[in-house]
Amino acid sequence: MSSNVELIRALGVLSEPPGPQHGPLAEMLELGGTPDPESYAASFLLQLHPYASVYVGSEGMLGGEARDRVAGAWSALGRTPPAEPDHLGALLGLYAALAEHAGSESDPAEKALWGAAASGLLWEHLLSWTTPYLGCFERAGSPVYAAWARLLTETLRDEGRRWGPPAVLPLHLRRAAELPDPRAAGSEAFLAGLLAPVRSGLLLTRTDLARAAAHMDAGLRMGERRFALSAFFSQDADRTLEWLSREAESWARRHTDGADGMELIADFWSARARATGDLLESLRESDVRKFDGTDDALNGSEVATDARN
Amino acid sequence: MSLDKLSAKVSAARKETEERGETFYPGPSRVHLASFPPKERWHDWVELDSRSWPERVEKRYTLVPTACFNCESGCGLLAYVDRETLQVRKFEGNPEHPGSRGRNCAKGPATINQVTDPDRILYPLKRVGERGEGRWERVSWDEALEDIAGRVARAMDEERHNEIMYHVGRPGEDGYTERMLAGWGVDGHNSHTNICSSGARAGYAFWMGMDRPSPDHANARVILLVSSHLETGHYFNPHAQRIIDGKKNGAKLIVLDTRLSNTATHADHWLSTYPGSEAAVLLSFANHLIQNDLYDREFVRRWWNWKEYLQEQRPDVPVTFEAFEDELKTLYAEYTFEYAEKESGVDAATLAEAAAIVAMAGTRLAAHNWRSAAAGNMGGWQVARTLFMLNALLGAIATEGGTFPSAWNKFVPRPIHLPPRHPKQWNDLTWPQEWPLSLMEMSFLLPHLMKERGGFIDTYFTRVYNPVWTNPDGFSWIELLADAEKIGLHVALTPTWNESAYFADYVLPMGHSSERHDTMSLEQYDGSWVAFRQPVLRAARERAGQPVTDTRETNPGEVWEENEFWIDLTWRIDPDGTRGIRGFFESRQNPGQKLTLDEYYGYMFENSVPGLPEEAAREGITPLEYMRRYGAFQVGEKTGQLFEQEVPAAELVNTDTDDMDRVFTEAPKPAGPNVVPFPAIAPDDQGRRRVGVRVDGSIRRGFPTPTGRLEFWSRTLHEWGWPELAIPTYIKSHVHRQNLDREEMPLISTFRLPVQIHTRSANAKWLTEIAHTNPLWLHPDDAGRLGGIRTGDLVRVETRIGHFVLKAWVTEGIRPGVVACSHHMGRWKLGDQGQRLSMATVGIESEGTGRKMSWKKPGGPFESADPDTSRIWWTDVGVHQNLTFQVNPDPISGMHCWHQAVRVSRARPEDRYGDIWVDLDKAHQAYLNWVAETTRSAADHSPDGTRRPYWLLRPVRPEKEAYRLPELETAVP
Repeated sequence: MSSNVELIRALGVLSEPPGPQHGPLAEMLELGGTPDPESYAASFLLQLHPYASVYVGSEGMLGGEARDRVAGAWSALGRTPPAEPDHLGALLGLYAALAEHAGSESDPAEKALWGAAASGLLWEHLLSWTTPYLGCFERAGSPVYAAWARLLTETLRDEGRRWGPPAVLPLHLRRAAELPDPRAAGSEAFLAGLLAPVRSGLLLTRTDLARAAAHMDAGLRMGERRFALSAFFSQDADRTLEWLSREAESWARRHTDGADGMELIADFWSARARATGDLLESLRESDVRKFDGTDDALNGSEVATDARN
Repeated sequence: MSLDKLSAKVSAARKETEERGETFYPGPSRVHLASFPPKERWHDWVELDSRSWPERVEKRYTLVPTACFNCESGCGLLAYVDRETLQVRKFEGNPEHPGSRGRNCAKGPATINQVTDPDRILYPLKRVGERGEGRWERVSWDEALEDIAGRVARAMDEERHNEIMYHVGRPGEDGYTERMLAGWGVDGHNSHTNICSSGARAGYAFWMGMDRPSPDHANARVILLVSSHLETGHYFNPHAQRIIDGKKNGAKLIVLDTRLSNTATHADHWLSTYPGSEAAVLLSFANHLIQNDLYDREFVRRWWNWKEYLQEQRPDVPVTFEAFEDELKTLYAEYTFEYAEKESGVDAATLAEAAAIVAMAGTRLAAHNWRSAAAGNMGGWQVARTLFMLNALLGAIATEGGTFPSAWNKFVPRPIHLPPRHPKQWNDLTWPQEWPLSLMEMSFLLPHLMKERGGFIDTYFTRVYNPVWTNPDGFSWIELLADAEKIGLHVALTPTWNESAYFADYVLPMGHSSERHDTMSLEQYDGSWVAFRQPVLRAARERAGQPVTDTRETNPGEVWEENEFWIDLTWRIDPDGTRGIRGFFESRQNPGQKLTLDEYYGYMFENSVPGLPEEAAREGITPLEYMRRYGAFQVGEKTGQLFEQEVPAAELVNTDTDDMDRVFTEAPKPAGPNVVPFPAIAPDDQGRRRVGVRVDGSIRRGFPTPTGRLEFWSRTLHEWGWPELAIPTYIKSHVHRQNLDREEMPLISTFRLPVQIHTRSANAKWLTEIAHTNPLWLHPDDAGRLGGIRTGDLVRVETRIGHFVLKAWVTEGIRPGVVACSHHMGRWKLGDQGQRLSMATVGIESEGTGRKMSWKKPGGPFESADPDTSRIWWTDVGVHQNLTFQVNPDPISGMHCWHQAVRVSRARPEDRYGDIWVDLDKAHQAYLNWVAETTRSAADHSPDGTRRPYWLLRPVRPEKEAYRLPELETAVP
C-alpha cells in the first residue's frame, strides 16, 4: 500500500475552500501558514481552477468531453460520479481510496486489479495535467498554496514512480486537438486555443496577462482572459505575438525541467508548447492583416467591440 | 520531513480525532456545494451572518435535527437555532439522515416561512355564530379539551363509538393515532389514502401482501417509472437523488407519463401514453418477456402461485410448470406492441425498444408507480399490478437494483404500550359493503354516504387535512360540514388555515416540523431507518439546561403538538381509568401519572431500535439523547430476499404442511421490535400460525399472502366477485375513448407542482413565489381546433357536474386530445381568515342545487409583520378545479379515479377567471350512477358472509365478529 494515502487525502482537502480543519492540516504538513479565504479565492477561484477538464479539455473550460471522461472513470470503477467528478479534491480522494484498497487486498489478483485502477486514475486523470498546473502556484501569490502545490507535486510524482509510467499517453492527451492556425480557423478559434492548455501547452493565468501588460506597456482590459488577450492584439499585435512566443519557449522548457519519471507526459506538453511557439513565430513573420476570413481579427477584434458595449 | 513521515503524521492525527468520535476531514461534499457542519460541532456552530454582509459578523448556532413535515418523505432537517435568541434562523439538510442524506428540496428550507408565517393560527379558537361565518373567539386549551373530551366520553358511554371519527391527511408518527383509536375502541380512522395512493397500493398488495414498492434505484440497470417521480413522486427527494445516482451509473430510465414532466425530460425513453392505457403498455412488455422466454423461469417456478392457478382455473391440464408456461403464453398473447399502440398512441416500434431495455434489466429492474395512472383511472390498481408483474417475471424482487416490498425497508419501533384492543363495531361510513376490497377507508364518499344512508358524527376531527379543498366534489363537503344534523362537533387540528377549518367548531393550532414529536420510517432504498421529528426549540432549551415538559412552552403562541394533545385528551376522556383507556397513555415509571414524551420515546429508543443503544453508548449518551442530537438512525441495510430465508428450527414446532405447501407451526411468533403492519394471515384449522412455505423441500419465509407466494392469480379477487380480474390484466379506464362523448377529453389533475405541498404550503412565501398558479395544459392542435386559443386566454372546462374557468397554457408538453391541470393551486378564503399569500377571497352563492364560487379579490401584496408580504407581485393564485369533479370510486381499490371527462371551450362573455359552478344534484346522481354501474357489494358476493377478506390490511382492525355482514347469519370463519 502506498504510504502516502493519508497525505494525499489531506492535500485533497486543502484544495477545497478553507474551513476550520485547514489550519491544523496545513500546520501538520508544514506549509508555513494557514490557508485563508482570500488566498484561496485569489488562487483557486480567479486563477487556477482545480478541475481536470480546464487543463485537458480541448475547450480549456469546465465540463465537456474531458469531464465526461473523468465521470466515466468513476462509473467504470463502480462509483457514482459526484457532481464535480474532475475536481482535484475529488480525484485525490478517489485515488487515495483506490490505493488504499489495493494496499489492503490480500487476494493477489484483486490486488493487481485495484492497483491497476489506482495507477490508471493517477496517470490518466491526475498526472496528465497536475505538474504544469501545480507549477503555476509559484507565481500565484500565496506562499501557503505554493508550498501545498510543491508538496502535492512531489507526492504525486512519488506515486507515479511507485506504479511506473503507462505504456501509452493518457487518453485526454491523445485526443487533444492541436492549436489551430488563425489564418485557417480564424482568430476566435486561435485565441480560444491559446487559452486551452492542452492545445497550446501554455497555462496563461490572469497574473501572466498582467505581466504581459507590464512587459508590453499595454493596457490590461478588465474582462475575461480572452478579451484581455484580444485587447492586447488590438493594441499591438506584433508585441503580443512576441510575448506569447517567449512564453511558449519558456513553457517548453518548464515542462521538461526535472521531468524525472514523467517524461512521457512532460514531452507531450513540451511539444505542444514548442508547436505553439513555432506557430507564433510564423505569424510574426507574416502579415497578420492577411489572415484568411478574419480581416483584422488580431488587430481589434469584434469580441473587444462587443465587450465594450 | 519526508513524505512517509508526513503521511504517518496525518494518519495518526486522523486516528486520534476519529477515536474521539469527531470528524477529521470535512468530506468531499465540501467541493460539491453541499457543505455540512461536522456533527461534533453542531452544538456550537459558527457562521457569518448573511444579513450583515459586507461586514463579517459571526453568528453562533446550536444545530438541532428534526424531520420535514411538508411531504411524505420525512427528509432530515437541521434547525439553526440562534444561541443568543433561541430562535430558529433557518433550516438546512441533516447529513445524518440515511434517507435524504443531507439533501432537501425547496420545501424543507421553506419550513422557516411556515414557522414565521404572519397568518398562522397561534391560539385555540372556538366558533362564534354559524359555521362558515368566519367569527371566532380565543379559548383556552383547557376549555376546548374539556368540551371535546366530554362529548367523546358521552359517545363511548352510550356505545356510539362509530360517531367519533378522525380524518387524517398524511400521518405524523407511524401508527400513533391508530393505536390511540384502538385504545379508545373506536373504528373511526378515516384516511385520505383513497384519494391518494390506494390505486397503486392495491395493485402491489394483491401480488405480495405488502402494499408499497421500495425500488433500489441507485443500483438498477433499468428504472421504469409510471409517474413524474423525479420531481414530485412519493419519497421524491430521497428517490430522485437515487434515480440520478442510478442514471450516473449507467441505468436507463423509462418514463410513462402523458405529460412532458421534468421526469420525462430526464428519460431515455419517454412514453406519452393516452391516460389509462398504461397497463396495456406494461402488459405488452410482459408479453414480450413471456413469448420470448426472457423471464426468470426458476424464480417464477419457485415463487408464483401457478399451481393454485392451474388447479382452480385449468383443471383440464396437468399441474406442471411447463403447462403453466404454455398458459401464460396464451393468456397474454393478445397484448402485442400493436395492441398497446392502439390503446396508448405510442408507436409499436418505440414500445418494442423500451421492452427490449426492460428485458435486459435482469434482476436490476427498479420500478415504481405511485399516484399518477393508478390514481387517475378506473382500474388504475392494475397499472401497479402489471408493473410489478415485470419484476415478478424477471425475479427482480428484493434484489440489488430491483424492487423491494415496503415492509422490509421500513422500521416501526414497538412503543411502550401496544393496545391489544379491537373496536367492537364496524364503521359503515368508512368501510361500506359496496367496496369490500378497498385498500383504505372510502373517505371521500362521506357526504354522499351520509346523504344516502343517514348517519351522524358526534365528534369529527380533521387532522392536518382539508377535505373541502383536497377531495373531489368539495361543495358536497361544505354541505356536510355546515350541517349540524350530520356533524355534531368539528375539531380542526391544523397548523394553518384551510378551507375545511372555516367550517369547524374548534380550530386547534398544531406545530410544524420543528414544533412536534414523531418517529418516521419510510422505504426509500434497500435499508431501514428511524428518524426523529422533534420540537427543536424544546431540544435547544434542554441543551441549555432548561428542562421542558410541555411542547407549548417553546412553540409560538399556544401552538401544540399532537402527541401530547392526544395523551391529554385521552386522560380527560378517562380521568380515573374506569373506561379502560387511560392505561395506554400512562407512565410505567410513575404509575398513575401521564406518560411523558421523554418516557415514551426513551422507552422506544432504548428497547425497540436494534443497534441504537450500543451506538449511543459509544458516545456516552442515552438512546433518546442520541436521537435528539442526530435525528436519525439506520437500523439496517442490504435487506436481501427475506422470502428466501429458511425458517429456523426453533420456529418449527409440530408443523403441518398443507396441499398448497404452506407450513403451519405451533411455535408462537417471536416478539420483534419492528411493528410494521403485515396482513393477517389465517391460521390452519388447528389454530397454528403460518410460518412459511415449502419450496423445493426447504421451508422458506415466503410472502404475507394467503398462499405465501407471489399471487399471480388472486383467490381473493376471484371469490369476491371479480373472477375476470383475478390475474394482472388491462381494464379500460372510465376516460377510455370508448367511454367519452365526441367532444370530451380526459383531464389529468393528479400531478403536483414540485415546490408545493397540496394544502399545506399556502403559508410558505418562497414556495408560493416560485409556483402560484395552475393553467390548463392544452396541445396546440387542440388549441387550434377550439378556435385558436392562445396561452393566457380564458377557457371554460366543463365536467359532468359543473365547470371552472381558468387560463390556457398552450404547450406541446401534453398529448393532443388530453388536457391537464395541477391540483396544487386554487386556494381560497371566504373572509379575513386565511393564508393571504396564496388565497383568493371568494364568494359562494346558492342557486337551487347549484353552487357558484367567484373571486371577490385576487391575491396580492398586504401589510404584515413580514415586510416581504408587501412585495408580493402576483395576484393569480390558481383555480380550485377539484370542486367540479364528481366522485369516481374504483370498485376494487376504492381509489377515487381522478381523471375527469371534460369539454373545453373558449370562455363565455360572462365568465371570469376563477369562476366555479357545480350542481349538487348532478354530483349526487353521478355518485349513485357510478355505484350502480360499477360495484359488486359484499352482500352479494362475499364468499363467507363477511364484509371484507380478513387477511387484507386494515387500520384499527375491529374484532372478528364485527366483520360479519349484518343481514346474514353465516358463521365467521
